[in-house]
Amino acid sequence: MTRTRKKFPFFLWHRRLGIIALVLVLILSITGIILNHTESFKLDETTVESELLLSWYGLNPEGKPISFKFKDIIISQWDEQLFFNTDIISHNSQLLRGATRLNDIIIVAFDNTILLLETNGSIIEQARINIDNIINIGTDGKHVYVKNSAGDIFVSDEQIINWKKTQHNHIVWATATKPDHALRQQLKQVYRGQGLSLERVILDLHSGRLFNQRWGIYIMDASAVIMIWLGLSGTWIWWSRNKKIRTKRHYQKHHQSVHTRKD
Amino acid sequence: MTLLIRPLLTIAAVTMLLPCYASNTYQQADEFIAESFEGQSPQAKAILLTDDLKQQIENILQHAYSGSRIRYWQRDQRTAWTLDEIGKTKPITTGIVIENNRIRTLKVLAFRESRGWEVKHTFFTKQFIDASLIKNNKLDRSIDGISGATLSVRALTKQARIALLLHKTITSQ
Repeated sequence: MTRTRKKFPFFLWHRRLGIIALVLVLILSITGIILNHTESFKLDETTVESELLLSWYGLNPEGKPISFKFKDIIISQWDEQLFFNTDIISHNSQLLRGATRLNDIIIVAFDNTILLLETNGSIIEQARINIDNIINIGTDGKHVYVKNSAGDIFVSDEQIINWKKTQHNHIVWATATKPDHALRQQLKQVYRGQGLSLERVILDLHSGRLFNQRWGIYIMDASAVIMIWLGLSGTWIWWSRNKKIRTKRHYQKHHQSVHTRKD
Repeated sequence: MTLLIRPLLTIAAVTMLLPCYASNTYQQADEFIAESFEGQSPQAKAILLTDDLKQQIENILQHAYSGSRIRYWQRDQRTAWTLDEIGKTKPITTGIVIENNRIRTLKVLAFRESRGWEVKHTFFTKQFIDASLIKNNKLDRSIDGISGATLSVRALTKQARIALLLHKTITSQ
């Protein structure tokens, strides 16, 4: 009974794993090259507009937007972003409490911060004031007033720098409005546009997090392990084949000639 | 073995908690102002930024500045400023007191980043004491950095330079 020698498994596995890892290794290599040139490609300055990718990342602003409307100006806040019409002008973790207009200045109130804007949306100043828990802002046409949660009313000086407690009854307080569908869509578009850079996407593709936040990295880890395996198995295959060829040549040179002579 | 593992776990826990602890407000701006004027805060004022002044500020910051006025507090030759500048991604609020064109106090009031909070320590901020401006709105001394807090160090240096520039502008008017 002749014993058949098994094929060396390294060769088979080298081929199988090479095919499996091809796609991942291509992703890893191409994204690696791109990331090496982040600044040249301006990846951090480029924002992703793809609806699919944005949805995949869950880049929908949380909560509901709130707006304060003047004649031709709308001040809105959605998920900590403050909008002047449809432009993001600042990020504020405090809740928008109200916005009022006095002459050519828009005054926006947060919990304990006041933001002054020009009518073109340029920021004049954002400063914390010595009043906590502001709940609304208003004007009587001459001065700006804020009200806190305790019901105290404070009036600002003409430059809107210093505030003092006052009692006044003829104040028109800011009233929040619900943004219409078109505005909501525009705000969402602007919000999303700022939220995802191309660099982020390529980094996540490179690390595997794009596939899944938890186990995505293990896919790329596996491809890296496979690459190591391919290197080792390739070397082994080359070495063993070389050895076989040398043995064969040695046999042909020495042993075959002896047999021939005997014959 | 337990003797080795326990201290290691404690160190790991403390290290993980440090960034959370670091994202803090160390002192309220109004308290800092009161402290800077021996408990009696003067009324706040605001300096309007002319195009030239804004340009100088932007040169220091190396990016655009969005405001057109900055508030400050002044008594005689002493001015106090609370300035915000982004370290890496979030603003660092720093209180700076200038007297006779030299920094009297520099204090980190709020640090919101997860790294680089070491700049709040006195061993670092004391380097700014008595610093003044020289040519091109640069400090008259070099500020030693902190490993791992390069961006925060840079932000504080910029804030110090801006406060000195604004003080010089006000007091020379």
